[in-house]
Amino acid sequence: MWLPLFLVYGLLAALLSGLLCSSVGTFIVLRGLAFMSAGIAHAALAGAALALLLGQTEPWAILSLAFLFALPLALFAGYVGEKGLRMDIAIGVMFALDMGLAVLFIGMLKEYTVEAWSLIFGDVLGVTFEELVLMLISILIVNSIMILLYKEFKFVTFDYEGAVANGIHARMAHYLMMFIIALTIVTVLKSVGALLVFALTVGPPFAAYELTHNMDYMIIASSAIGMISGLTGFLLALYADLPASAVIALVATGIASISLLISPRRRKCCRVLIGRVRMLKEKRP
Amino acid sequence: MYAVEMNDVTIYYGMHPALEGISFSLDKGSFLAIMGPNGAGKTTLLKAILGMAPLVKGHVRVMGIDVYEHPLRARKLIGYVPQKESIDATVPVLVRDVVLMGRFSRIGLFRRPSKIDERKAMDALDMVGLADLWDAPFIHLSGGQQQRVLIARALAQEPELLLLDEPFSQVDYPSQRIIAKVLRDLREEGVTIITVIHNIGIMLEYIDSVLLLNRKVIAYGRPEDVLRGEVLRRAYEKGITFIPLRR
Ligand SMILES: Nc1ncnc2c1ncn2[C@@H]1O[C@H](COP(=O)(O)OP(=O)(O)O)[C@@H](O)[C@H]1O
Ligand SMILES: [Mg+2]
Repeated sequence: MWLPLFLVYGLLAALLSGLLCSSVGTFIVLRGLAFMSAGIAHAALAGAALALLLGQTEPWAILSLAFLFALPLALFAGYVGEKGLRMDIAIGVMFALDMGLAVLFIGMLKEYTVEAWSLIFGDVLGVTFEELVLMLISILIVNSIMILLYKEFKFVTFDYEGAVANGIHARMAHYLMMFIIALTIVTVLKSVGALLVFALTVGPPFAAYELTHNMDYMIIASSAIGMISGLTGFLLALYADLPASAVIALVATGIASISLLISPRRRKCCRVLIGRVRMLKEKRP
Repeated sequence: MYAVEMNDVTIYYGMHPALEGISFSLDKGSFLAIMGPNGAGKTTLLKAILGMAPLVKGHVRVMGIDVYEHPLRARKLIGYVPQKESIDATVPVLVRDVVLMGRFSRIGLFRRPSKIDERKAMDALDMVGLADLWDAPFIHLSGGQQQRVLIARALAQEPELLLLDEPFSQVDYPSQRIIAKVLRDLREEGVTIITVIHNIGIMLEYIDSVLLLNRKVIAYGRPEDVLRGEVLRRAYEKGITFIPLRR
């Protein structure tokens, strides 16, 4: 069977984006960093837009500038979190600043407006070979760090102070976690888009959280759900001629909603609720 | 050499002094109870022993090691059982994950727990009487059981110094008895123990000294010298009536 190359690249990009976002997303969800990840996406967008404004359209140039904007926000959030301070206001201010810069840069663009739009909404069918290679390199870096430091990540996520007290390299693990979150979001900017990164980083882990009490399985389930979302979303979009990243995001959030309904965690509450309703009915004359 | 030695330790959170001019030393193998009202700086004192509270002035030594200069080296010798409330039990981990965490500083970076680590973790869990919950989700446990798992995590580390932050608070009676027994056994084995405690009656016979704290050291000495009405009143300020304790 013969497939056009852009379809192959698109399919791989959708799969890999799903994998990357949803594996790292496990830690984003468990450590309550969802708001931060949205902030990082907008910082990355500002950086990428600046690259276009400077006439830089090479994928690595866009990615580098996006990362240059995203990393400080991630490290700042990491610092605030380490000190145990409330991060929503501080992140919110930087979020607003980066959003303002992104709108400003995009508004000033005379060329490359199509490229700019694709960074906001994602353009998985427009992913080039070069971008795919960059994506693979990112995945290699992110997953190596995650596998090598997995036990530290687990400890830090469960009990940060306990991890510091234990004498493991807790700070290093904490900041490397911020680093891979930033790298992940920057990497999928082109394929998923700044607005929809959120759905893919939060949806699959959330679905996986409902299914298990074991963090190891949660990461595996989340990665699987992320890849399934990427794959089915991509194929559905192709079939129905819809924007792929939107369909991917909808599939991811759809799976999250379904798992919320069938969750073994909730089933207990449901049983209690059903029991209550029965009791009420029986009490009626 | 002392197990813990504090010299004029002063801790500030921003502009707010949490501890001022704390000096005391604790012999190896002894059992110290820290008492004081809420906000007295008891948790902060434990964190200072771990080198985790913002030090403005002074020195802290654990087994002769300056903890603020060599934090990782010192912390490997210290088992810490935090206040249960500081832990996010909604993170999906199994009991065995939590106990094994106690081994991580010994395992080192990039390595997985070995069979020996698993056995030591299992032994620690057995000590607190929860061996059958090895594979249970942490969140399914009662408050008292969770507290015991956190103690097992500290034991798995095989510490020379054990710090506990209110281990008996909001814990059911059977768990309280088991925790008291574990601490007794550890003291026999020669582990130095420091525990923040409100209801000292549970452990009174085994406690060697009491440190009464309210931002400063109000009193430090043998329980029968410290636990007297007029001394306690100085720490707790408000005129709560205390029944004097006798050994
Ligand atoms: N991380 C922190 N940041 C700011 N202030 C703190 C922090 N931890 C404790 N404090 C303050 O320091 C004082 C002592 O707290 P703590 O050591 O927790 O007291 P205790 O454990 O005796 O109840 C309190 O006034 C508390 O509000
Ligand atoms: Mg306290």
